[in-house]
Amino acid sequence: LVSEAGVSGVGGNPATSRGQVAVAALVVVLIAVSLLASLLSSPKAVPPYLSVGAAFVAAAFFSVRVTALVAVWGTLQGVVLAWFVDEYRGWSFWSRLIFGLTTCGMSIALAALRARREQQLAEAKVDLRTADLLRTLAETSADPIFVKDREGRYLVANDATAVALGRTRGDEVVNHRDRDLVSSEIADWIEADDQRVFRSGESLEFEDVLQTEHGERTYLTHKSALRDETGAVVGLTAVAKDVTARDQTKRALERSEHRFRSLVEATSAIVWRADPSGAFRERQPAWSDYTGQTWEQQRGHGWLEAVHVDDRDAFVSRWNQARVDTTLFDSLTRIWHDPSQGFRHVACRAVPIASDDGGIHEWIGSFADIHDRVVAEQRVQRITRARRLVADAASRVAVAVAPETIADEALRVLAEHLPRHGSSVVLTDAEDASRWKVIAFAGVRAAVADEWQEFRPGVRVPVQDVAVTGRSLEFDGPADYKLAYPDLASSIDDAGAMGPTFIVPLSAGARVLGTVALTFGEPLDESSRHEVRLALDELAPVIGHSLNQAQFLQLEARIASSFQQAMLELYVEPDPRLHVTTRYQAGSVVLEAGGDWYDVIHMPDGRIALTVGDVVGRSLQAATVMGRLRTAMRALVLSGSDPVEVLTRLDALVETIDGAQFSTCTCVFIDPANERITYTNAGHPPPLAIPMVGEPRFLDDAQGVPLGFGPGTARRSVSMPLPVCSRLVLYTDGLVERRRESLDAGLARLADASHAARRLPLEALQREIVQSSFADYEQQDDVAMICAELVSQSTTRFTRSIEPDPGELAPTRRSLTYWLRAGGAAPERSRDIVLAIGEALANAVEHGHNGRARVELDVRREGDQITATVQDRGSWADQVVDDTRGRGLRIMEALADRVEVDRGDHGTKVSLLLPSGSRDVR
Amino acid sequence: MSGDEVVVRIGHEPDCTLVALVGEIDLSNVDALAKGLDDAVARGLPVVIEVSDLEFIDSAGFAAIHRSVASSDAPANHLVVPPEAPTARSFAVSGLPAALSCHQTFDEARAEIQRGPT
Repeated sequence: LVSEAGVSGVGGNPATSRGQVAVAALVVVLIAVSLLASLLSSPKAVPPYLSVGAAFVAAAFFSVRVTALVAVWGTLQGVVLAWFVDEYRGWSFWSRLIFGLTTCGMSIALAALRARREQQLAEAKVDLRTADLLRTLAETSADPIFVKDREGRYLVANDATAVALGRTRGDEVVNHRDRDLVSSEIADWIEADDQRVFRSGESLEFEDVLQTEHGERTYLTHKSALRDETGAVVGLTAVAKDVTARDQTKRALERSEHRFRSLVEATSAIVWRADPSGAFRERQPAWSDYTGQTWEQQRGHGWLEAVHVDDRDAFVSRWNQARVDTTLFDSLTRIWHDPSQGFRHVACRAVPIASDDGGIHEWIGSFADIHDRVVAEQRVQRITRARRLVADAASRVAVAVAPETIADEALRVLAEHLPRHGSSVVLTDAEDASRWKVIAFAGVRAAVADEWQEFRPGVRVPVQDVAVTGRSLEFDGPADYKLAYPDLASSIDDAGAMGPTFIVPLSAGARVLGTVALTFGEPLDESSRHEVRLALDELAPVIGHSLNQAQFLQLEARIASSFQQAMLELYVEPDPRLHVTTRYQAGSVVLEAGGDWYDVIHMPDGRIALTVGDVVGRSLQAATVMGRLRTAMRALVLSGSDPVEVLTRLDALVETIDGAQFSTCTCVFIDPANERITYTNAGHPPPLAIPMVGEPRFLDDAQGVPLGFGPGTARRSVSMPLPVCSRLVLYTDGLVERRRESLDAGLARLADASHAARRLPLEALQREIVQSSFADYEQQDDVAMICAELVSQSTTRFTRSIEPDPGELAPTRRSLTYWLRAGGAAPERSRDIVLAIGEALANAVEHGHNGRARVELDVRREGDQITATVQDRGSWADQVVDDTRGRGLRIMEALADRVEVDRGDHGTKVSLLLPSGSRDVR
Repeated sequence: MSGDEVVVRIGHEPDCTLVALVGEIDLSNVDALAKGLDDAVARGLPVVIEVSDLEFIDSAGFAAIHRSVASSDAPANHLVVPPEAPTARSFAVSGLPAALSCHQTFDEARAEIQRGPT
């Protein structure tokens, strides 16, 4: 609307309206009538006044040009035409010319005046409208709009302008200058800006920062020169835009960009772009620089070739997953690094840039080289692992390992974690510092010597120097090593290693136990050497400590073992009634020694007690506890009447002996006279009874809790027959327990072995049991064991009633031998007696039986004489002539003082009288 | 003693057959002894019976030895009974040495064999 008004106003053309059209028509009609009248009618009929009238009409309504045309036409018509027409004689030519020119000039002047007036009116009207519009526009605008004159005075200013200048309303600003409104400092540069506009006469843009009641605001001000009609610059118009928010955003963006760039630089990140499928579509300089891939190699998906082949599958699958999910891709991988010609660890990320349709427009990827960090972490892990492994090795010392084993473990740990090298551990003798030996080696040709070697005068070896100084040695290579230790030159040459050598002391406190030495096959760079030093620094104290502990434990174990042996080397008083063999067998695991015991106690009432026990724990402490328990038990047995009484009192006693609690034991009272036993058991493996006939059987009817288990422990005993010739086996768990095997399997093995060997002499039976237990298994724990055979009810009388079976002869002779020997008979004498009685028994078994009748043997010791009778139910009179039997009789007669053969109706009775040969008559 | 127990170990020497008796020999295993001795005699060479490791022998054993060796038609057989052997006294009272050439060591017996049949 404004522009339309402006255009029509400035154009100055008469407004087209019906009135104007009518006037124009009138003018045309007047001209036409005067023209026709001049040509067609008499001269009188056409006065020149008509054309004069037309000119005035035109002047009244039309523009100057139109009026001029009409007036000139009227003048020409009135003057020039009249020249040629005689009827206008009344007027002189000159009067007509003056009249015409006057008319013409007057009408043109009139038209010009009118036109001028009309234009003035139109302009005034447009100005009014424009100013209104401008003001309205300005007032409604949130942006400052103002007009200043050349003196800098505000002619127009809206409220927003006032706000920018620290006021509220435009009125407060108009007719003021900046200097009146803001600080002179700000006014100075505003005026300077204004002057630039005035001088250049152009439109310029300025950025002003002004203090307003809303704080500091930034305005972008567009100022244009305001010119008057002459084109002279009379002022300026300005529109300002508050860009504070835009400015802050921009600055924040700049800051974040800066941060991002710093980050990128700091993390040595490589940035690249890829299309939605992950293909490279344009050259990626950063990628090329890092990986050395040419554009041809990396284009499309070729860039994946730079990813380590072992990582590639995982990398691609993660990428695909990120594509599907349109999420951040994030992966740790190894990428070929061209400058260092190796793969390096990188943290790779890619961000999907979303397109308008919600898909992926492209990927912006980056990876940061974290190789150094990863390598450092891996190194820390390796060392931690090494430490753990050696700690593990050290913990295994607790289950008794030799220094050699510890050293082997340590060298294995080193071999796993360090580059190719040969290593050895040398120990100096704890008891004699002038001796040393190699106890372990790996990767080098060295001999582990069982023997200690003397340090020889004049011959230097590293272990000596390290032991003296307590400091590590390090040599760059074989040349340096040989220079320092010329005596080792040949062995260094033999090893052929070209790398550095490290020799580190193994210390326990201030004492250097030995050294660990490493020689590397190849030269090492400084960082690798540092790693070696680090590892050795970690390991050496652990190895040293472990070795020290092992040496100490070995020493303790030796003491414990000696102590144990000494404690158990008890003299078992021979008893003709009970044949006993005992055994204490130390296990292979030296440190497990100690704590097992056995005892055979002859009670005043004629019974014999057997005990076997096992103290919890090991080594010296267990051995001492064992000694106390065994002694206590012996005292309790001698004053007690029943196994339960003994163990119950022992339960109470155990509370007062440190380390004795939860010991286990078996206690068996044997009453030979009645051929019975009474037994009880405190958490111990059950004794085994082996009858002469039938299956062995475990005595597990009186199992109880271990000793000192707690108050209110009710123990019970079981009493059962034990015929003569029966055997008992008491033992500790080392005999039957195997790792990863149930106790039942061990018990079954014991029962089977005992049954198989039941007819063997007692000593052989014991040997067989032990052999079968450890034939296919290395004995770990100690074993204490008692085997006993009930020989006779009495010390002075030996009786047997045997089947008429030749197989019975040998066991009977054997029992008789025990009885005789335990009764004090000399070995040769007892052999004679056994031979003589054996002949009588053999005759009875071979010939004397009648059906299945038994053969009765009765041997008595009376003073220094033995009397024996063999009674059978048959008669061997017929066989006397037999060569064999005759030989038997001759033997009996040769050995005995007297032989009587009484052939009765119901059998034959042989009586022998033999010198007992007893050194100790009981 | 069970019957299948080894009581005889036979050694083949170039000029004799060595028969070592072991364990305990009585009525229960005398058959094994007899068989072992018969096998030894069957080889035709002089038989040398050695008893260092014999724990016990009674008249049944002596009789078996006598039947197999002492009464055979083969060249003179020998018995080695070291004085410290557990059964030295048994042999002494058995009367068996009278029927055999008796020695205290194997070397003595061998020397006699090498001197030739007597």
